[in-house]
Amino acid sequence: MKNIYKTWALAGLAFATTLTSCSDFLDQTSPSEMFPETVYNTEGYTQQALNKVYAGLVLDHTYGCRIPLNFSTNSDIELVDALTQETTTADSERGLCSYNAPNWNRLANNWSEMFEIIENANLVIEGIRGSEIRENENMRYYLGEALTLRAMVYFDLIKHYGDVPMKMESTKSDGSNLYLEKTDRDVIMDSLLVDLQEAAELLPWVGEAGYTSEHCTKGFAYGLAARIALAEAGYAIRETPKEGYVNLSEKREGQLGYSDPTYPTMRPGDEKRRELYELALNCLDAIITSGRHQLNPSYEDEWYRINQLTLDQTYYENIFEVAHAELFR
Amino acid sequence: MDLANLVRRAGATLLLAMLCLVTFAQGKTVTGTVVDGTGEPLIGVSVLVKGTTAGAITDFDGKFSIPNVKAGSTLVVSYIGYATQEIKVDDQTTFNITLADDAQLLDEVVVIGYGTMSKRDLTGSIASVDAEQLAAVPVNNVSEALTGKMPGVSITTTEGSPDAEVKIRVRGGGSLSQDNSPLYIVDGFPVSSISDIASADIESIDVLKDASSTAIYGAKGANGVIIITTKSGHEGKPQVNFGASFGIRKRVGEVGVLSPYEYVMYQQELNQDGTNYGLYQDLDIWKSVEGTNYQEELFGRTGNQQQYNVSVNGGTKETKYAVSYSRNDEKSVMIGSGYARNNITVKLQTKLNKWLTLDLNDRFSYTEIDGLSGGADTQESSKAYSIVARSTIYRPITRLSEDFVDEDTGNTDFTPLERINATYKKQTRLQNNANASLTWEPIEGLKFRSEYGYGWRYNNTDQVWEAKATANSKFGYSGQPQAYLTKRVQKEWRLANTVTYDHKNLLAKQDKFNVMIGQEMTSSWYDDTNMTSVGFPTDNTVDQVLASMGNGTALPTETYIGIKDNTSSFFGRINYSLLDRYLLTATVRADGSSKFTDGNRWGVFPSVALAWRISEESFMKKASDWLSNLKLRLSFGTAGNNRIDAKYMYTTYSLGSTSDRTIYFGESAASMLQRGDMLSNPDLKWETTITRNIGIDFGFFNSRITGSIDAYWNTTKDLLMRQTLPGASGYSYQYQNVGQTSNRGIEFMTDIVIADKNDWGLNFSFNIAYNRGKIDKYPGGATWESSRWSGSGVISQEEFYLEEGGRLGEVYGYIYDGVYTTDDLQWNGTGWAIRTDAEGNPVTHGLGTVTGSLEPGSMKLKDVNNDGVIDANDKVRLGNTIQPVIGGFGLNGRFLKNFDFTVFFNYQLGGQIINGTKAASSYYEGSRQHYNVNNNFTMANRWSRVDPVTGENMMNRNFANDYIAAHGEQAYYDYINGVNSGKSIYNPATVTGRPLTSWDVEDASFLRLQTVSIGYTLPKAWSQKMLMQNVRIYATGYNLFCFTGYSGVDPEVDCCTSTPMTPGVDYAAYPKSFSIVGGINVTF
Repeated sequence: MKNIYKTWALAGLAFATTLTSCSDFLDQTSPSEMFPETVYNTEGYTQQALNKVYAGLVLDHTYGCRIPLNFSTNSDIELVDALTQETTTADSERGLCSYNAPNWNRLANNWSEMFEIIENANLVIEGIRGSEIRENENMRYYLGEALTLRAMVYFDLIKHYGDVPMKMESTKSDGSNLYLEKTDRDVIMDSLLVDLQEAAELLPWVGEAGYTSEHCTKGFAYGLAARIALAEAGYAIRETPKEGYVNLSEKREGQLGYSDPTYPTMRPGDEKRRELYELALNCLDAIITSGRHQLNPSYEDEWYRINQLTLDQTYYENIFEVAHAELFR
Repeated sequence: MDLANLVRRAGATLLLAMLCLVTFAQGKTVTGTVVDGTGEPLIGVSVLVKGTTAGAITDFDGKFSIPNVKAGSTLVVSYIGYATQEIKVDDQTTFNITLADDAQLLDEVVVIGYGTMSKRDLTGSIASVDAEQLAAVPVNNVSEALTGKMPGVSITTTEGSPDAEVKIRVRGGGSLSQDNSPLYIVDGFPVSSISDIASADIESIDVLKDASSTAIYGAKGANGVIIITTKSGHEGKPQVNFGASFGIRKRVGEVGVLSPYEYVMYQQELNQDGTNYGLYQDLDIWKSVEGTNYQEELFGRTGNQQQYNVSVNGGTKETKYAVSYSRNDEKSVMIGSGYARNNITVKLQTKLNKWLTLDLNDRFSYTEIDGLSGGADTQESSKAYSIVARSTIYRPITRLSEDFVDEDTGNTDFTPLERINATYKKQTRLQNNANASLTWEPIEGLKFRSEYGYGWRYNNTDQVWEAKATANSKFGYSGQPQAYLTKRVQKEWRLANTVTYDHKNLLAKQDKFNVMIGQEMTSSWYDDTNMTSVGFPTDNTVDQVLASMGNGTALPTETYIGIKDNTSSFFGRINYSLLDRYLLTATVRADGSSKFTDGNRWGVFPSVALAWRISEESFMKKASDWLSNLKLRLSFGTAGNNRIDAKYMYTTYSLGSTSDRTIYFGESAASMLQRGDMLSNPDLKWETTITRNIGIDFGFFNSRITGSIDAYWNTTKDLLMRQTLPGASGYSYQYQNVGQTSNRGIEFMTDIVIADKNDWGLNFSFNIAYNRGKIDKYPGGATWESSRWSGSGVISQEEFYLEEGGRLGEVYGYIYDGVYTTDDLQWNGTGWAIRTDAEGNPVTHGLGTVTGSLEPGSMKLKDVNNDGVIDANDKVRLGNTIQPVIGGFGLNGRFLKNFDFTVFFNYQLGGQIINGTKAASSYYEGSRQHYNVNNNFTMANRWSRVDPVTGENMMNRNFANDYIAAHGEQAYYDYINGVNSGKSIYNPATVTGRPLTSWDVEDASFLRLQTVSIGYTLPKAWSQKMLMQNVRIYATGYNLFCFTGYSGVDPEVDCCTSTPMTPGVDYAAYPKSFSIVGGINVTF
């Protein structure tokens, strides 16, 4: 009889373990993986998430090699050797110089990695805007940096690809904003200008709060805004003729005034142009009158410091620089 | 005569007579001989007197003798493999008994989920392999021993390293982007891999293929279930087994590359200024230089392997035990590569009392693996430059020039031999699985069983690279030694409770009814710790680094505490058989998994199967002399697949690792929190596979010919597909439950007993399976997948095409169409241009996707659509890399009484493979000089641009214009054609980048002589003299030949691809080896 009680007890124990917290049992998370709520409600973690946005800038396919080096060939100071026909028609970075690399397979990497930076910036921006500690000074700085970085990357996308999808919010898992159409570049640039104005309010000047020129600062936000405004106000080859825009052929003559009939070279109308120029002027004034950024009187000194990997903490001639590593190629 | 004498004699005689009567009444001695059906005496047959403890065992001649057997007793004669006989003892004292063969094959017991069933009652499709067949194959990983033995189970050893992954696919596998591995169960406990189980411990392996068998495993059973049963104790005298074997191994072959002289002549094509290898006139000096063959240096040594095992099992009626120890030791063919594994297994079963049985078992294994795990195992940023990949194309000689102006001053500066000698990797794996179960049988037929098991795994990997191996490290800090240590602690437990009830004559006469219901919970998790240290003093060796890790700069230590993978399940099964002829099985299982969010967690998987034993029908009785078994099986069921990483449910952030690129504020690395590159999907749920199976089991001529045919149709829906997202989303992929695939196929297997005589016997077995997969639904439109074996090279981009109505493994590429000749091109004063005809139209197309120089001898692709350009529209289907027909066949038998032999072949037919190694060594990749090409490009075969007289480049401006000025244009073309007459293949120096072509995709069908084994069992007389019951010595050859048309080293390879959607690439594979083993098995 004893044995039967023993076994019943055992079976009962076995059964009891099955009933304990069945729902918790199937609800599991890992402490090594943090949810956005945790990340954006802590300053330290938010800064680390922001570092990931910066980290996108050092990659080979973004500002490590592609944009500063490969996309800049075929200028007055840099070209690829054209002695053999292999080079200029090569399906490689070299063929870029003659816009003749239709099968070059790494262009897609540049596209996707630039948008990865934008997505990371979107996540940080949304996270900080929805955070409980968003009014903290550091959190405001981080928001400003994310907005500025996103604007910088978007501006480079527009410069190289023209009209691109406008994605100012993070990707939704239900796929509702996965497949976006192109948006006119002027619409995007207008939005960037709004972002940069906000960022300029939030950010400190270089040299304040421990911010060096390796971080986005007020000067950079103003400077970038000025650049974007001037670019938007100028001529560009458009995908379709736009109403209210001025065609280059109206303003110049002959070869200098050539505008393709299908893809015309146009600039915004005079009214809009005035607005943009005024904005640029205001931004640039802000930088100059602050006195924060000056030109180093000795070019040799500037060159020497750059090669010594020492940041210029006196003149801040460089408004912003991407902090690549010394040891990575 | 005296009267007194007479009385005395009469009395004595009477007394004696009475004594005789008395002794007769007490019992007599019974003797006899026991023989089998052929008249051979049977040794060791047990002859017992029923109801008593008296009995005897037959001796060498089959004779027995039992004293004091009372009249009217019954003798019970029994022996394994024969039908027991009972003989009444009347007046006879001598018996000649013939025992008949037991129709054992049908009573064989097969392990199914949560129980066993005899083969005659099976309704599902199950294939089995027994211990003997496994023991014949001398490999470390028992999965490899299964190759070709079970129809529908495709087993590919991906490469030749000792811990190479063995891919097992049952009936094709439903997933496209997920792992299609089956579920592995060892003694009831699910395990993640069976590579650490000693084959000597295995009793049998059963593979459940259709849903009616696998549905009981619910969510994990969609890709088949492999059940391994280890050897248990048995009642009787303790039996001690000892085995030892020793063998040698050597690689099966290598890729042919150019000899030193051919190599420098090829380099002359790339650079004619004579600085690297000497002036052209002196190049023939290289004919006397032997050069270094790096493939030989790395893989050429003779490896060896040793296996030892010792086991004791035995027991009494109450307690049975089995204890075993085995050791596998291998020195593999690659430098620094080795494998050593120790297994200890203990199994104990004891009856606590009349109703309770307790089972305890523990499996312990400790493995040490030295060396690289495979060709792609590298710490460089691209696996295309791994040591194994470079061993084929690294230059066989050193350059003369001091000036090293290499394009990438990376790892490529050091020879593969220097790099491998500077690389250290050691994995140690300590695993222990302990199980306990309690069975309570209160009344006959009702059984309660509770099982609990716990497993521990401690896996450590230590890797150290000296300075020569870190020139291109993914951690950065190249040029100085680095170390990377990882530790993983993995634990799992499982609790299962089942109730089984057997009943006869439930609904009708002669029926059998069995019902089982159960509940199970499992949980597993792992924790990782990774430590990286870089920047050690440049001349530090591996030992110095390991001994003093503090000398390096420590990068941040990474930890990861894993998500627990929990499942909770409820299941039940009913088996009903009527008249032993009509069988029905129905199962259902409900599984809840922690990998999915609330609302998607639970899945229900039912199945039903019917079987009809036609041979038992009364109308088939007259066929019973030639038809011993005919059974028709039909099954339908569902099973699930949850093989997905749990973290895709939510967006989460984790710390970047030391190999992720980060920003360096103030020249020091900033830590960063990053999201995964997969977009989360909270709506993920199970994949469900529906299988339909029809099968026939047959047996002829008293089971001399047995076998089965199965036809099946599997559909997998709600496929967990890794969808590629558009680049503008910022994510690469998202998992979604979309899509549907199906697999249709037919399997056939047969075993034929050709002869079974006294002195000799011969058995033939054969199996073949044909499977065809199809992608039924593929939302989002067709996609191109890239295997990326060549890193970012065009040759490995977008070569696999997946579309609705198509199938996995479809390879697309361009058609290789020969070379450009002087008929296609003409010299225009500065370069080569395509000729135009009278109307001014070009006679042929341009290079297109081939990058390089356009000149006579350049590679020409076919303009399939005749639009005048080579572009993506000229891609055609080149083949499929999944073999549709697989199988094996073999002979085994015995001769000359004591010799036995086995020969086993396995084959795969009908598929193609991408010969990445040949492709990578066939062009001037990335304009990198000083690399070799394969020996399809010898001077005799390839088009050349080098003038044999002067060594100059015939195709360039100076030479061309001078020659034309001196001799005229036509003479120039004639000269070029004269130099190149009879050449068949393009000049690799003209191609700096190219796509995949028809030349790179080859037929991968093969027939492999997998095992040849011959053994000799010592006659009983001799072995008994040495106090041993059985001694067998044997010699085995493994993987001796492979008959194939494939030009690479081995057609059965699958490595270096980036996703499961791009299978079938041969690139930088650790070469396979063949081995010859000799050994001995002793039973005491």
